[in-house]
Amino acid sequence: MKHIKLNPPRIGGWFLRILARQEDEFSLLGDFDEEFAGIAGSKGCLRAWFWYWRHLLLSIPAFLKDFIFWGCIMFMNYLRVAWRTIKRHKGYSFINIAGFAIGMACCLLILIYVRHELSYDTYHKDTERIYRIVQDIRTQTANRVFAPISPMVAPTLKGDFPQVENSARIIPARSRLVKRGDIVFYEDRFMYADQELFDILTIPFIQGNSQEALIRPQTLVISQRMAQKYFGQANVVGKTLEINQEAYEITGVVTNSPENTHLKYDFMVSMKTLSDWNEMSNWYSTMFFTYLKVKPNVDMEEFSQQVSRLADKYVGEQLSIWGTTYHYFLQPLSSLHLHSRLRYEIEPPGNPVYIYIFSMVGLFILLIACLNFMNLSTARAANRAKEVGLRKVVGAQRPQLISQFLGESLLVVFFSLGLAMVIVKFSIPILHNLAGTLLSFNELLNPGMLFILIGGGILIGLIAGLYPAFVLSAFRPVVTLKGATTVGTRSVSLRTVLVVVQFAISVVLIIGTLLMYRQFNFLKNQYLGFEKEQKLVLPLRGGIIIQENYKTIKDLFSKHPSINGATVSSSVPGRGVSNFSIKLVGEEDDRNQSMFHLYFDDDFIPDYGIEMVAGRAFQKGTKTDFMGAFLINEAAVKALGWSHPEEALGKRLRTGHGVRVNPIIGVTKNFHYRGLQNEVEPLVMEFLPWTFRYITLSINITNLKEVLAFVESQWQATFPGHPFEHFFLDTDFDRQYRADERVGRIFGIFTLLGLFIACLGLLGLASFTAESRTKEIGIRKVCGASVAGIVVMLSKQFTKWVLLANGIAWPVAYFAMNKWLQNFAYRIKIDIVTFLLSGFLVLGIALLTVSFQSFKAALANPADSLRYE
Amino acid sequence: MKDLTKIEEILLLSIWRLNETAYGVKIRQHASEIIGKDFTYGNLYSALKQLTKKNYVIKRSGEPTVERRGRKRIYYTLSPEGLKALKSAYEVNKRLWAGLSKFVFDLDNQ
Repeated sequence: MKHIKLNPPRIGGWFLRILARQEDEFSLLGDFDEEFAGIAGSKGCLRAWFWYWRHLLLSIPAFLKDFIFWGCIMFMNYLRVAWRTIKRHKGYSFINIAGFAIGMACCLLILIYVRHELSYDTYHKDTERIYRIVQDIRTQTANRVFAPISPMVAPTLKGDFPQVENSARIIPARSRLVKRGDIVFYEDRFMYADQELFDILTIPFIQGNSQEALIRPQTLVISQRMAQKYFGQANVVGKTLEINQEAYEITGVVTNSPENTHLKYDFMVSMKTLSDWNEMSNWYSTMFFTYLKVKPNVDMEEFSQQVSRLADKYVGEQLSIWGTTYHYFLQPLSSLHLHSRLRYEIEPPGNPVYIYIFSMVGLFILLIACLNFMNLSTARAANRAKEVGLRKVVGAQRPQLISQFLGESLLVVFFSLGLAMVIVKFSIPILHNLAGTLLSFNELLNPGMLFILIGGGILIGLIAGLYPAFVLSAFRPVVTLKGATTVGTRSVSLRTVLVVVQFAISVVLIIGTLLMYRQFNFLKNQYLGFEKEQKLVLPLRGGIIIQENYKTIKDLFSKHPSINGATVSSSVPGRGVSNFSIKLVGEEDDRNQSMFHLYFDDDFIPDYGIEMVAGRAFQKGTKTDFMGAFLINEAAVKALGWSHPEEALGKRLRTGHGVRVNPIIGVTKNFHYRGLQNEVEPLVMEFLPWTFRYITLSINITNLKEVLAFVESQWQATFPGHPFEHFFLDTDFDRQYRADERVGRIFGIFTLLGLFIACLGLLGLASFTAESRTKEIGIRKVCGASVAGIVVMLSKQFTKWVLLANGIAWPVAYFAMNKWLQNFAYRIKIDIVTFLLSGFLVLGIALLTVSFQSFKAALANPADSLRYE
Repeated sequence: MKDLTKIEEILLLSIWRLNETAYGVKIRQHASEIIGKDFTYGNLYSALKQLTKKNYVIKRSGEPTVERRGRKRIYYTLSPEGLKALKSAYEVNKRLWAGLSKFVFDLDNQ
């Protein structure tokens, strides 16, 4: 045999070692070397090299196939083992999966909600180039920022600024009476709009020409659902609708307004309809919402600078005489919903704070669920210790075991994720009823979301499974197979931390819920400075005017014995009040303030039970009170710089664009004409009949049914053709808290769920503890321990944990809730009772959970628990 | 008893024919001769593994050699189950080809 000078390639050997399975490694390498030597001997080294590499490469596909095949077999085995584990420990698995599923469902719901809030007005084409322009009216001392502005701005923008591609105005007009034959409704999503609006916003047309829908007066574009409502079909172009008794021609049908826009529409009437109105050329008007689209690649900083003083060119002189300046600024369209809270917003804006709060709550709940999983998995370690030991003895490597346990956790996570999707699907309608937020399940089904779901699932599965995987795989087979039962108790300290964190989060959430609930209760029961009970309010909508005959109408309604009084007003507490500038006459007044105005007749003050602190209210029979006198409230006295209400009497105010100059005849005590989120602001009251839009009836609700029937029959007789509408003042007033209350309610639901998940975890842990101490309990009982004694012994540990959790939670909750309460001008004091109550509540629930297991363990017959072995 | 795959059949036959001297290199070379092209080690070892798992072949280690740079040869021999499997494979083949070979070769010769 020829001596071998040349060794086979080393890298090749290294490759082969990777490719071969362990048990075949030597044999395979040997075979390669032998053949290499043979070929090298007979045909030369080069041939041998060539042969070696060729065969190595040729072998790769088969080895790879083999590898994948066995990987799958092993994976199936892991799955089977995981499934068996799930089945064998039904209780644990239920807790794990249910906890995870509920936690994830919460998270998903919150995710949908947050996405919905963030998606406002992002669907428009070129949405980043669309802006709303608003106005800051500045005087020396004050500034007022208006969302609606002058109608002159839109054409000026287009004429003076080359950067502007297009601009459009709208006037939202609430409650129009829309009529077609017998179908009559009040409609709220109603606006006047320029044709250009369709070039700026994305409002797809189903029918009609989007280029010339609103170019003529008396034309109208309606939404699909309105076409369905009034005509029962979509093919309605050319037909007419009657709005406030005027006929309008339908020139287009558009798709229904999406939920995620601040500008929800059903009826859009051409702005041309209003072209005779003198307001249309008024530079000082604040009625028109103005949108614009800039051309691409415009330097927005420079452009903002330029538009800032666009009015000066036209009315600058007049403004400087008045001592005012107009500053205009731009708001990106997609920021309006969350970040614009100006005067007269079209829709009450969303609150970005709530988005943060909810995101935090969602993360917390997910955290609780994850901690649960880690906790239970490590607690169960003792049960799995033998399996791990055996696997190791048979030859399992640590990475294999880790991947097995990670796989198991992934299985549970995806199982839960599926379940969570089902829960979300079914809880969306419930959430809609409970909280009034309309969310869509379909938001979860787009590719981006699915990617997040699957990616998130894998991430959560890995995170939640990592710790158990490492703990379990680290067991030493010799120890575990010998039957030591102490395995898994090593991580008690970590488990304690996890449970404490869970309960701390729960306590924070509970304190939050309780304080929110108390705050809303406080708001509802606070005396407002007027009587809000037993007031039936009839709004006058759809163009009803009672300027001439309000007296006879009042008499008509107050005829009934159960109706104690009737009064008419421009608004009622809780509904909007308008804001005008006022000036003090005859005195040095550089304040140039604006105040809220409320108009009502002589019965309003007595009927509403509003107290006077100086002077007198409007009197029946005093001619000068009618359109010739002012009442103001205490806040206005202060704002006008008087220290005592008496000082105000006889002073003269100028208001109504400077038209009306009248004396102040009385000062009312402050009453809350707006919600308790705000301090009572200065208010000016006048007796102006053309403003009257509401009739308030003070009724005796003992025979409410009869009164309502009477009022309705009187209404039908007085205002034929107008649907009868009514509301009760107290419930209507509380509507102002609805958004906050809604948040409170959602918060409450999530709190309960969070607590539930934490309890599930505790239950699992308690049962594990009881189980692992079965023998000890048995011996204790044999030695004479009582059932009560054993229950106390088992519960003591958990009590300590929960108390510790409270200690952590209280400062956090105090800080957070203090911050939240700053939103309200009138708020409750944070007291220790709420904290104690939450603490005891959680402790009680925790003990109840634990004692369920403790009793079971304590009541067990010691003979049974000691018999084995 | 599961049916043998073609590769398994070839390997079992090779091992049987090599009779006690069957190890990696020999089996591969023999199988390559039978099929008329190179038989890869990848296929060889993944199939041998299956056969071992099914108990059709028995592994036995031999002496270390210089060519193998000190590694032992692993010899494979047929187990009784392996022989049985081979027999049944033969029966299947016989039935499969019964009366056909002549016809096929006639076609070939045309």
